[in-house]
Amino acid sequence: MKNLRLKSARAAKDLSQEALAQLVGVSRQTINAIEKGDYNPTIKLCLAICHALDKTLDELFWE
Amino acid sequence: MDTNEIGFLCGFLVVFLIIAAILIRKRKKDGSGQFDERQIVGRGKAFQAGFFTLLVLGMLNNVGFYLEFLPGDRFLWDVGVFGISITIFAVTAICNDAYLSMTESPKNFYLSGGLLFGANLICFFINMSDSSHRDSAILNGMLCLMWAIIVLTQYIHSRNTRKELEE
Repeated sequence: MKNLRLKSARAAKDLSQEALAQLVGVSRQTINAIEKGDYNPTIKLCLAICHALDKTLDELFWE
Repeated sequence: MDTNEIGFLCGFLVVFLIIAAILIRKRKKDGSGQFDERQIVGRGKAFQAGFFTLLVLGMLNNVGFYLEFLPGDRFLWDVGVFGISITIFAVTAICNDAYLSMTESPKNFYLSGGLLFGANLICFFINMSDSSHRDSAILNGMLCLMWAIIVLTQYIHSRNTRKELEE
């Protein structure tokens, strides 16, 4: 399932996929895969993304 | 083994260790060779595919030679089996975005892969011109084909991935 909340949170911060990827220490393709719903990140990566986007886990990853 | 051969081997070992130390230090410094969690999963799939290919083809190769079914030099068939396994590993890794590390540039890879392809192609034609070097020519041909497949796969995958860039 696509993660549109992540995509909109990233857009709200005016960050490209590449920029977010560099902030959290992964490749751009990984961020793309998470947003498309092709990859389920580990909790460690989820927390890193939340920290980078100033959001909580509930806001970005929980249904 | 005479003293000249021992000296050559020692010199070769020293140079190898120096180059290895420089490359390891460079990797630690600029973070090259680092893969993220998704890439590590992808590389796991690639290693699995390569390993099972090696296992199956190795068994078939051994059965083929035991039954005296396969012609020619056994060494070439063994190299062929390894070559196919390595190619399967590389193609699987590329399809999972896990062949090149996070900081590696595809352009550098095309350059190095292209050089290996070109060098083997040249050696192939040189060895083919001499019938006594036929086996070497076949070996060069196999390596040439292997690098061509890997570089081409990376190029096609990079081009397809670029189309998925966010708008």
